[in-house]
Formats: sequence, structure tokens, C-alpha cells
Amino acid sequence: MFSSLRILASSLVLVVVVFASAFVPANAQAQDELSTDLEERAHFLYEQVMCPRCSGQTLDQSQAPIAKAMRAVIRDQLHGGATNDQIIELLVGSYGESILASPPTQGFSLTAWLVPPASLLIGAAVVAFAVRSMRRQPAINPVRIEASTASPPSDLQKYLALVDEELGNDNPRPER
Amino acid sequence: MANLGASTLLIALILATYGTVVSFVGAQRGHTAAIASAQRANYLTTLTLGVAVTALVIAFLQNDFRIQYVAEHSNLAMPRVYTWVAFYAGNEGSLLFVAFALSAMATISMAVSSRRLGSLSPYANGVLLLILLFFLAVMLFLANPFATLPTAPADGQGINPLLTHPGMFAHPPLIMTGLIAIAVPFSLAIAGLLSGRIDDDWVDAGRLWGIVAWALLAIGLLLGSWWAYTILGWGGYWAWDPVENAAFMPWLGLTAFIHSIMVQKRRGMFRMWNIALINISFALGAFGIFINRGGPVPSVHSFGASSLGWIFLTFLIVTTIASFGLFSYRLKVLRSTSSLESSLSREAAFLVNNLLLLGVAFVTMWGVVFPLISELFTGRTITVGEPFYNQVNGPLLLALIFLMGVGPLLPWRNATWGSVRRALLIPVTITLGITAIAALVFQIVVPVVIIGTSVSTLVAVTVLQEWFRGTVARHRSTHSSYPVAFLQLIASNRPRYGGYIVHLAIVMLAFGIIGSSFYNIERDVFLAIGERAEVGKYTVEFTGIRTQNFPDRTERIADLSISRGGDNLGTIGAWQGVYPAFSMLSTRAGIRSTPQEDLYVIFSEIQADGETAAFRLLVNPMVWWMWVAGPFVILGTVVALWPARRRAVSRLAAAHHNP
Repeated sequence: MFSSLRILASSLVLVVVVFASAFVPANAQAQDELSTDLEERAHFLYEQVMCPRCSGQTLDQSQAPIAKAMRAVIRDQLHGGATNDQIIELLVGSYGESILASPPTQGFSLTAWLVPPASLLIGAAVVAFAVRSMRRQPAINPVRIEASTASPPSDLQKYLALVDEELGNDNPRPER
Repeated sequence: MANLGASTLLIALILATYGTVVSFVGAQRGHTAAIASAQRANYLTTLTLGVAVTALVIAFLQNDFRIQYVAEHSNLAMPRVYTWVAFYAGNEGSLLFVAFALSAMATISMAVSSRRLGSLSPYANGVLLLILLFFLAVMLFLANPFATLPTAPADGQGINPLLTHPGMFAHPPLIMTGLIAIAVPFSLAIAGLLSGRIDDDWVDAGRLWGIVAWALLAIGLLLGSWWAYTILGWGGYWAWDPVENAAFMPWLGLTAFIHSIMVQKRRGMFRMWNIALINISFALGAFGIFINRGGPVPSVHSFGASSLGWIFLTFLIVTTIASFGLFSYRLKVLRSTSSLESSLSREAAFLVNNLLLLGVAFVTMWGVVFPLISELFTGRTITVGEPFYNQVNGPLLLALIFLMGVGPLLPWRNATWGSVRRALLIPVTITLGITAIAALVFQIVVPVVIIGTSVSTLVAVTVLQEWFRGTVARHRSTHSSYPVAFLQLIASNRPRYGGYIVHLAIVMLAFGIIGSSFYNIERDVFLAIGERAEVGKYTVEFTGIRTQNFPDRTERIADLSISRGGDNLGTIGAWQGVYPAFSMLSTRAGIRSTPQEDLYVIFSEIQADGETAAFRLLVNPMVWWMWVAGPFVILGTVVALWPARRRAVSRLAAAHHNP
């Protein structure tokens, strides 16, 4: 109960800060150079969070004012000692789950992560099954609708094979 | 111009309708005169659409703002040379571009391949004209590039600033041409299904046009990445954006096809697979057009909010149902004459190749579509961005590279584990050695990087080993010098060695991606003039700003002086342009590029005092290799497609095919 109040309060603060910093003139923003460690975490977080109203770009990619404001918020939070998870929780609290750059691993979104490996396994099973059935069945002669491609007579076949050899052809004509 | 343009579209529509009907009727009845007439109708549509294209270009050059499209995508201030880009900047113009490209490819492919295809060609001709008919109908009834405004405005809206970069002169046309080029092998697939004949001639023509479409898309995708890298200013080159994915997925299908067709050429197998792969590639291309123009998913690229989504969705559904319906109808006829002998063989490797490539395409499509699915089932929108694709597609792509190294070493038909071990022994040993040395020298600890480096090295080692052995063998037997022997080796089997060149290009791409993804260094800084910042081993000093004012924009170049370890490395300029009419800030990165790494600077904003600026500084290792891969892809494709001088055998083969 108390923790959800805290989240609500910090979300409100976040919203106010973000909107305020979007209006604050640029040279008043802190020229904050983070330590390399925090800088790395900042860039990691930028790649995990989408810019809310900029057609599919992450905070890392967008130069829009709101993206810059959100990056500033993340840097402030890192200065203040928040963990990556806390920062993400804060942003999700204010903007909803769609702010995340990849689906969360809970609830319906988990299917996003489960379907690819499941389908790969199914595909592999289909291929394995097809391979085994191809190997068990002897070759099937197709019913030809047009008889225009008759096999060449056997002596011509031998001649063609000789020619292939002499030309050093690595891709001889298909066997029929 | 508006009237001329609109009438030529109508004439082209009539020609396409005539050509489609007469092609199919003529094919059914074996009526040679009708077939020839339909082919001529094909050529005439290209001529007619050429006139339409010229009409629109002239309208741009003459600033004919009564035509709505010209008013929306140009203005009086626009330099004339940008007419090329303005042509396809918007929905209607790009449709005209696609229609013209399709018509041109239909003409060229039929002119080149119709004799070879024999009784298949009228069916292919008909399918191509039918697809063209669709695009012409969409233009004439829904999105006419020659639609006029009631009164001509005094000035147009101007061209989107993002398009005024050299890359934009080539990337969109190549992607659009590559996507529509899939129609050519697709028409061959349908022709085969309709006539019930899938034979040697089909295979050769299918391979040729499949590779052409594949190469166009590959270069288009690389150019798009290069453009994103230099212009969009985040230091990256691929964002798994839905529209990027829309071109990537059909390319994957085509990659599977051009490999799988080798098995059909060699052993007459995989006929079902190849038709299915073409059908899938075309469906993915149609899906791509739907994503580009329907706007169901937000993207940096989309042609704005277009109401044409439903028509392209219908096109996608109809063509997919028709192509797979025909496919299942002809399933019995398509079965191969030969069968897979062993699961340890090159044929089986190609099967795994198909599976992996389709797997990547499926994951990509799943990522594009999941937000819509989530919205449907839960009412909440979930974003699927880069981290998802990197984590899920990454392993699949690494597996593909591994297969690229091992596959060519497997013999056809049947292999024993012993023979495979012998073939792999030297390359794997060399690869492990090189990887171990690299890991020690560069202090690589990330497992993905080690795996990526080793599989890419394996491919390079296997290719170079074969080249080395082949060259030495030729040198010994023909006593020509090593360079000459090497060239003779390549010429002796162009498809194979052209393919190897492309594989090496993929290895370069892989190293570029691994280096820049895992070892990049990024810093956002504020610098006043005269101040310095450090990034990686480089020191960057902001030395000044040059400003130039134009009627429609203000350009600024921030000059930065680069040094490393005390050595002066020169200056680079990071460019930005402010376009008030578009409320847009466009940037071009200042890049100092070496094979080892790029130093990359984006000038993102200037402070109110005019003297302090925000910069993004990046060190991107090995990006240079990604762009160098491009020319090698082209070279490999040209080598692979170069016709071999086999005149004596061709005459003989022709005699036996057409007695």
C-alpha cells in the first residue's frame, strides 16, 4: 500500500520533471558528465526505452525534445543512485508498458518470447520428419502433363557426361 | 502534362489487360500469334509508362503546381537535381516508379528468357502483366500521381530534407526495384504451376531472376544502413524498424531460394521447396508493400498515413491464396525424381539452410505483428524493438554463418562422419587457432563475440582454403602463373566462386556488426568553443562553427580537431540543417573512418549563446568493413551470373530440347 503510494508519488514527480525540463531553456540543463560506469548504464537504459511519441525510436536514437528530457531524467536518477530496475519501473509507471523496447516477460507478453523457439522446434521437427520420409520412400515418378522433355538416348547421355568431365564442370546436368 | 500523364496510365492499363488475357488464352490454345502479340503488349507498356514518367519529371521541372503531387513534394526553391528523389518521395509517385520498374523488368526478362522458357513464357508474361495491371488500377482509381488541384498554388511544399542526401538517390529506388523484381521469379513459379512443367530451363531462368532480385535488395538494404548511419545520427545502422523488416524478410526468402535452387539444378530435388520459397518471398514482398503504405505499425519510414492499406492487404491475401492453391493442386506433379539419401549431405545442409532463413524471417514477422496481436488480445500495446530482435535472431544468424562455413565442405548425396571429420579438420583447427589468438590479443571475453568471431573466421578459412588448393592445382597442371591460375579457377565455375565472393562479403558484414555492436564507445557531451572531450583513445576539440543561411534552411558545420595519443589526425566537420518549414533538424555525422574503427560525431544542438553545443561522440569499431562488403556483393553476383562459354554443349543441348 505504502509502496504503491510511493510509486504514484514518484511518477507524478517524474511527469512534472519531464514536462518542466522540456520547457527549460537548453543552457540551463546541467552539464552532467557521468562516470564511465554510469554512462554505460545510461546508454544501456536508453536502448531499453522507447521515445513515447516518435514513430518507433528508442531514447538512444531519437533527437526529439521529449527524448532528451527523458534521457535527462534517467541521468538524474542514476546520479541519485537508483538501480536500472527502479528507473525502468518508474518510467513504466508513468508511460505504461509500451515504453519498453522489448516485451516484458510476464503475462500475455511472454508469448512474444515463447513463440519463436517453439516454432523453430516445430519447423525442425517437420524437416526431420520430411527427411526421414524422403529416405524411406523410393523415388516417385511424376505424372508428366507434357511429354516434351524426354530423356536423351543413353549414348548421347554418355557423350554429354564426357563433355562435362572435360570442361571440368562442377555442376553437371541433373540426373534423371 | 497532367492530361498526358493520366492518359498514358490509362493506355498502359488497357495494354496490360489485353496482354494478360491474350497471354493466358494464347498459352492454353498454343496460339503462337496471340502469344507474340501479348509479348509485344508487354514491351509497349514499358514504352507507355516511360512517357508517363517523363511527363511527371517535366511537370516537376516546370513547377507545374496544379498537379497535386508536384505541389506536395517540391517547391520553387528546390534544386532541379532533386527532381529524381521528389519523384518517388510520396505514395503516388513511388507507385508510378514501381509500375515502371515492374514493366521494365517484365520486358527485359521476357526478352532475355522467353526463348529458353518455351511454352512457359506466355504464362509468365501473363502473370507479370496481371501484377502490373493491379498497380496501374490502384494508381488510376485510388492514387493518381497526375491528380490536379482546382487552382494551382503559388508555391509547393518542398521536398522532405531527409531525402536530400546522396544515399537517398539510390536506396529507395533499389529497394523498390528489388521488391518488385521478385515478381519475375514469382511469375516463373506460377507459370510452372499453371503449365505443370518445372524443368531445366525453368531452373536456369528462375535462378537468374532470383539472383537479380536478391542482389538488388541486398544492395538496397546495405545502402539504407549506410544512409541511416551517416544521417540519422544515433551511430547505428539498423533498427529493426517495421519498414526495414519489410524489405529484409523477402530478401531472406530469396536467399533461401537461390541456394535451394542449386539442389534442383544439380539433382532435380526440392522442386516443391523452391516453388514454395518463391511464393513465400513474394507474399513477404506483398506484406512489405502493405506495411509501407498501410500504416498499421508506426515507423520512421512510412509514407505517411495512407488509406491504401486495405487494397494492399487484399492483394497480399489474394496472391497468397492463389499461389498456394495452385501449389497444392500441382503437388503430385512437382514431386522430385530423386530422393534424399542421407541426413549428412549437402542437400540436407540446404534444407537446414532453408529452415534457418525462414526462421529468421518468421521471427522478424512475429516481431512486426506482435504489437497488433497484443492489442487485439489484451487491449494494451506492447512495443517490440531492437533488444527483442537481437536476442532472438542473433543465435539464428550465427547458426547460419556456421552453416555457410560447413555446408560447402559436405559432399552431395552421402557423407560419412569420417569424411566430414577429415574435411573439417584443417579449417576448424586453423579457425580455433586464429580465434584463440584474437581473443588473447583483443581481450575478448563476451561469449557471443567469441562464437561470432569463430564462425565468421571458419567461413573465411574454408573459402580461402578452397581457393588456395584450386589455384595450386591449376598452376601445377597448366603451368600458368598463380594469379592467372586463380582467375582461371574463378572462371571455371562462376556460380560457385561468385557465391564464395558473396560469402566473404557476408563475413565482412558479420565482423563489422560484431565489432560495432559490442565494442562501441558512446558519450554525450556539451562543449564550448575551444573545449575538449575524450572518447576512447581520441581527443576531440571543438574549434568553431560555420553558419550559412539559405532561403529554406540554416546550415551549421561544427569543426572539430581530432588527435590521438598526441598525434594530430586532422579535422572533421559535423553538419546540421534547420528547416523551419518542416520543423526539422537534420544532421550529418562527421566521420573519420579507418578499417579499424570510425570516430563519429553528431552535432545535435547549439545553445542559445551560440558558442556551446551538444555533441554525441562515438567510436565504432570495424564499421568500415560493412560498407566495403557492398562492392563485393556486387562483384560476387556479377561473377555468379556471368554466362559461361559453353557454346558447343549449348547447341547440343538446344538440339536435344527442340528437335
